[in-house]
Amino acid sequence: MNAARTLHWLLLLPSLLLLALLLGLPLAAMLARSLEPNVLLSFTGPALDNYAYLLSRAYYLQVIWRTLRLAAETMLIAIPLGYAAAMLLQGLSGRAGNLAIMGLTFPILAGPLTVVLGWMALLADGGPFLGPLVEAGLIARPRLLGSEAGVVISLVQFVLPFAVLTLYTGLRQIQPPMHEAARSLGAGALSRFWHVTLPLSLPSVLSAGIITFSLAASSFISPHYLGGAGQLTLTTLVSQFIMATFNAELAAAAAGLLLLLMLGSVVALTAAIGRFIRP
Amino acid sequence: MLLSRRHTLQGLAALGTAGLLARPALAQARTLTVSTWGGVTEEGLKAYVQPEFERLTGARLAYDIGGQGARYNKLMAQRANPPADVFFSTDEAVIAGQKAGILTTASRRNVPNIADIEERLRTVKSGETDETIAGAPYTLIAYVLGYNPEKVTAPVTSWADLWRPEFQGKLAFASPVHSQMPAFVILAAEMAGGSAENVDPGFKKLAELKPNKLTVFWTDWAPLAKSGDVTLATEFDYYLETMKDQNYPIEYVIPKEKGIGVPEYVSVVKGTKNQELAEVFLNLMLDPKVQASFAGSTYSGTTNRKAELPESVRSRCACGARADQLRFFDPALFAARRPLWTERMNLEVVPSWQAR
Repeated sequence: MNAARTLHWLLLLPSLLLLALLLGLPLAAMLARSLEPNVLLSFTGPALDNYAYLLSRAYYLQVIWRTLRLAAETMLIAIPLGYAAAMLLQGLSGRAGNLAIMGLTFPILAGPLTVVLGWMALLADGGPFLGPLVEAGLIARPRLLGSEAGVVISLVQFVLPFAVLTLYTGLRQIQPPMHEAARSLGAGALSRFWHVTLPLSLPSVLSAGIITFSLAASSFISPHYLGGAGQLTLTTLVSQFIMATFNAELAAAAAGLLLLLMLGSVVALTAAIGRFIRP
Repeated sequence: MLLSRRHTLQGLAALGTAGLLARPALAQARTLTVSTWGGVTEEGLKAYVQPEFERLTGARLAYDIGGQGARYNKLMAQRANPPADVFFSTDEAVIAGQKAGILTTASRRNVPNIADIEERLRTVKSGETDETIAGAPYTLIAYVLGYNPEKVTAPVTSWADLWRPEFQGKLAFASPVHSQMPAFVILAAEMAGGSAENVDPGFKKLAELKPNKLTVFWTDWAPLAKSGDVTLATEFDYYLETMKDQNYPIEYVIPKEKGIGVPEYVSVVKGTKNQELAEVFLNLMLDPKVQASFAGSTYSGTTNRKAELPESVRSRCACGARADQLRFFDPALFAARRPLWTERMNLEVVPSWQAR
């Protein structure tokens, strides 16, 4: 190993240690716990019975499927919306651009709980958006609160700033001469986007996809407050195991499954989009 | 330099002596940490219990506020150095907590008010001996039926009304994680020819309900009551009284088969360094005057026979005679069955509800 690389690792060491201590240890403890028997299942641990149990019940498979579906829907809506916003942002000049970025990050600063409470007021059918439409007889009384649509709407809003900022950074890294070269060769706006901008921005699309999917799959506040007991996801299921039946072992197994599924999804996403990324 | 090293050392030594002298005084100003619910309970404690407790003991009261499940988990996670001295919970959680080794008993001698507590409200039997009590059942609340009087077509009188066709899709029902879920498993089993020991018919019967909202707390369904989307709900009497005060279109009835009576306990955390202070607190929670003040402001019922209430309060809480209209399930049974029954609710009942 040469000196530069040694320095490289030395510089990484503090954050690696911190990660191992604060993330690795608790994670290992949790995974160890997920292999133990509990109030519901008796077996001699450590063994995979908790996982087998969760994966053999239609109800829990439905919860897992719902978690993945919500995350995928959120990602598929947030990426095009975020892409358009990032392109608009790129066209804004200095001060307007700064203001727009500040506006974008505001929901992150406000925190997800505040924002979700806002959605609870807005999505109620007597709320300021839908209330007047219902009153006027234009639409039937919708039930967004407690529905999957309500959860997706709030999740999209929650992950959108992350998508926009990631895509914006990616778009800015494309060298302007690329566009000029394409234009000089006679490419129209659509063709320039299709053959230059989009392919070159794919790495940031992949990053944004991973970020939005992971944030949506692991979010708790939106499915908890806007979904409810009939719309459990893996995160709210974990909380139910811990809070209602004090079953930390089954909760740990559900959390372990969530982790595995997210890792799997990230790998699948990377494989799917990575194919189109030119080195 | 004016301050030599010797001066500094002398100064430090003097500070040290002062610290030693001050120590006994500091030890006297002890703190009892109360693990309890926020909202009306915390406010009631601050208004009616804290001043008297501090006057009696010279110690201070501190609060650890949260839902019962979250607070219970905190005690589980920090057994060696518990974050609270006394714990507010349902009777069932007292039994579970004793079994899990996070709650302990109190000295009967140090909680003399226990002698004036209604016998049937002392539902926790484990930990009760000639010398010890399991905890202090400081209030009685009732789980009953709330309904919208403008929308119902016929009077609501019975738990069987939950299955009435007019309430399909208009019902707010206890979530599988609600503290009173096991009571409904038994009630439904009995209606369908089963019993607490034969609950299969109960789960089948519950699956026939058509709730449109699963609730843990009254605020879960309150907006739907206002909009007319919920016309019947299972709820605690004292929350329904609060809703009436806030002009919700709600009346409530104690079903003719008897409502579900729930004594709420405050008990001592195992490993506390303030056992005597904790017992003073328990005794205070059973004091007839404290209970009367609590009932007046929160509509939660008194458990002390000597508590005197004005008629305007007595008619609105599970106080005195109303307890005759309540059924007291065995909390030990709930504690033993809850893990399995929650699971069966999730797997066998919730999927057919399609509620939110």
